[in-house]
Amino acid sequence: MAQIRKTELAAQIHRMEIASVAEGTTLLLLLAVAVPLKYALTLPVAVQIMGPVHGTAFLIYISVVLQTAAEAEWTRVETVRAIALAFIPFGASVNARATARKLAELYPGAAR
Amino acid sequence: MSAAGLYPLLKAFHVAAALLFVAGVIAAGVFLRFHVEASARNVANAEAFRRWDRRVTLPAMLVVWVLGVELAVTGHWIGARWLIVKVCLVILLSAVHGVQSGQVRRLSRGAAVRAVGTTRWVLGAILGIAILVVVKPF
Repeated sequence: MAQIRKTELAAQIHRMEIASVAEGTTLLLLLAVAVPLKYALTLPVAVQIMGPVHGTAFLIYISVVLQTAAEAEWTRVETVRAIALAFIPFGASVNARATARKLAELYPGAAR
Repeated sequence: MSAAGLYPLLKAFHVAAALLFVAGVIAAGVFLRFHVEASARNVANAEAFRRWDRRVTLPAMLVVWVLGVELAVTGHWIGARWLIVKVCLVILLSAVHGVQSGQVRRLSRGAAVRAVGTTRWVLGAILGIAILVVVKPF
């Protein structure tokens, strides 16, 4: 099967974990801090900052999910589930752990 | 120089990055169409292609997004209907790029890939984006 170095797999899983944490954290900050500030204290500046920041984190997470899905040949259901988890705070982190396990199974010789 | 004064320069960099990004997506589509088996030659080509993707196409995509958001804010285009449709098409191109990157990575590691026909979608998206940006029909 496929050839991959241990460090390469670890780096790939690490990138996915970073993307997941960034997606989850920015979503939480947007929903729990920025949106209440906008509507309770009429301070839209937090949403103006956190909106694009979360948008970027979301896009990077989706890109990482699609890359991994194509590489590991996930089914459509698995891919849609991984994307849907991005809409739940820290759902992406749950997905990161599952994906790390799947990648380790795909490249058994390179397990961390 | 003010943000408004920088607008033409940012737009030029955005267009240059978009050309590089789209060129990479089209090239990857053609590459993956003819390199699905994990032969030694295909694996070596995939590794070279992967380096190009990591050093040129992916950074170009990120520049497209960052400058695109900046241009939309500076040019007061947020909420324009043509821009909403354009963003959907850029998301489609970015998604295609994500799938292609994963497939090239899989091939570079010695596993065969399934051919995915993306050329029609990519060409349609490029045509749509050009019309939306230049004509701004709505």
